[in-house]
Amino acid sequence: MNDDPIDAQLTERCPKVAACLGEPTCDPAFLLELLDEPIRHLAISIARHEGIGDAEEFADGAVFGVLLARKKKGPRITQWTNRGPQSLRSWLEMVIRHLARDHQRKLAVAARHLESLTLTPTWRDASMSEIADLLVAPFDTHELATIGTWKVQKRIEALCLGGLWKKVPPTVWENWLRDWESERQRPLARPFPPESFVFEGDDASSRITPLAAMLGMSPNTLSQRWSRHSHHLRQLRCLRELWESRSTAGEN
Amino acid sequence: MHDPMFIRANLAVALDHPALSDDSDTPAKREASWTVAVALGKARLFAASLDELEGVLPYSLALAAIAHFNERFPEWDEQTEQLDTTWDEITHPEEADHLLISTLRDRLDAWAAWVAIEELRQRNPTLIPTLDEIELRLESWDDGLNVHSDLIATLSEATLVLGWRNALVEPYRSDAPWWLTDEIDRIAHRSMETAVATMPNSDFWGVVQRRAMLPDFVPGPVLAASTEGATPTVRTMTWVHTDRTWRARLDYPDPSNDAEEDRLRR
Repeated sequence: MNDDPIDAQLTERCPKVAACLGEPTCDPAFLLELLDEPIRHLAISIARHEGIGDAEEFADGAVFGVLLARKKKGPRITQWTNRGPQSLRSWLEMVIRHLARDHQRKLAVAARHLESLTLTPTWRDASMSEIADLLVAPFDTHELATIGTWKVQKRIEALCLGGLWKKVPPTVWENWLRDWESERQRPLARPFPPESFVFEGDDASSRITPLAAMLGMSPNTLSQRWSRHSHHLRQLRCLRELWESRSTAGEN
Repeated sequence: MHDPMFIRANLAVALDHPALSDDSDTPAKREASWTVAVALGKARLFAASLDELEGVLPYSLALAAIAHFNERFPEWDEQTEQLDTTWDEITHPEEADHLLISTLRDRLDAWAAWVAIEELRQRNPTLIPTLDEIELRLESWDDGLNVHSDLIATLSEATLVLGWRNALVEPYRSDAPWWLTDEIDRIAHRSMETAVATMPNSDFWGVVQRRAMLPDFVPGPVLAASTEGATPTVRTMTWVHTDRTWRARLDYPDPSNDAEEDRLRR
């Protein structure tokens, strides 16, 4: 004898679900009434098994994920074609496991992006005096060593788009440019970046396209590389201090 | 004859594969069947003329193609899941584009094969077993690509992707994944705006521009005053204009006594 309440519920409700799905006027509210509880139960169980933190919240999403129409597509429940009580349970479990995987995948990517997003205050809120202070002094030896651990592409791209290459001693900068040329098998005209890059315009977007062309990539690729790598700039003492002073000012 | 992508030629080669005549079910036969399904499906997606090769995917090839898909899917899924970390590791932009293109090509192939298999299923629904699991796998694959939409959108102006977008015909064009619609342009635009918002602003570049008009900093007084071989000690004086838009800085050797310091400051 099967004591699982979900099995019992699905056995009882399955013919009604199948009948509703067979009707062109199938009422989504009726499906919600029939399946809300079983889906929640299965989702919470799968969430706990998969180590999803907020199982209740995931269960809310799973109900909509199964029953709600999607862009260009009907609700997932309409894809349940082998319509019997046991198949409904295994089908629901299969769908919810896919939803759980998607949920975790999104969380993982969001976590990877979070750090880069927190860089924004460094540039946005800095005063003219703070910017001048930042630019007037060269990087110290520790900062140069840190930058030296980055891939040479990242060094050149981040320091140019960040307007910080002048803080690198000219001989060191020249060595990095040579490393870049050797790696990419592509020459860079000197001085690099050229004066025109500095006086390109007032906003950052006007510098992306010319720099991308010089570095042999599309503007989309360069801006994406900045989005994904620029948070490394905060490893540098001068920017970290600026960021922390702005954060403290914001709190006060 | 309309076949700018040489789909008919690819189908002819695929149909000629010796593994297709194997009686037994082998990996080579499954892969060859997959290739046939992909070519046939692409002929539908891009309205290619097949002439004497026109027809529906044979039942045995459909089953073998499904088996191939199920075998390969974990690898494709894993590749999609790791797309951002792999992309970050790549040095050359061309290789980064290739990684994304090959991912989209695999997904496009799967879409094409699915179209060919679905065409057979429409004609005889009982012939092909339930495909719920495969549909879910394809959806999961799409979900995985959605997570990396910012990366994939870097291909919005890639020739191959533009070619696919332009060549798609109805009803498939209306049902195309986002990376074969205007949505990829919108995502690329949004990503660019997000990146620009985290870059130095016009105030910052204004200071960079003013700095660029000045000669590079040379610690002249320090060098002039220091004795050979000794490490000079440097003091710094800074002046800031009242509106804080201009700054001056002087580095000088450490004075030997207070009187000299006072004289320097005056």
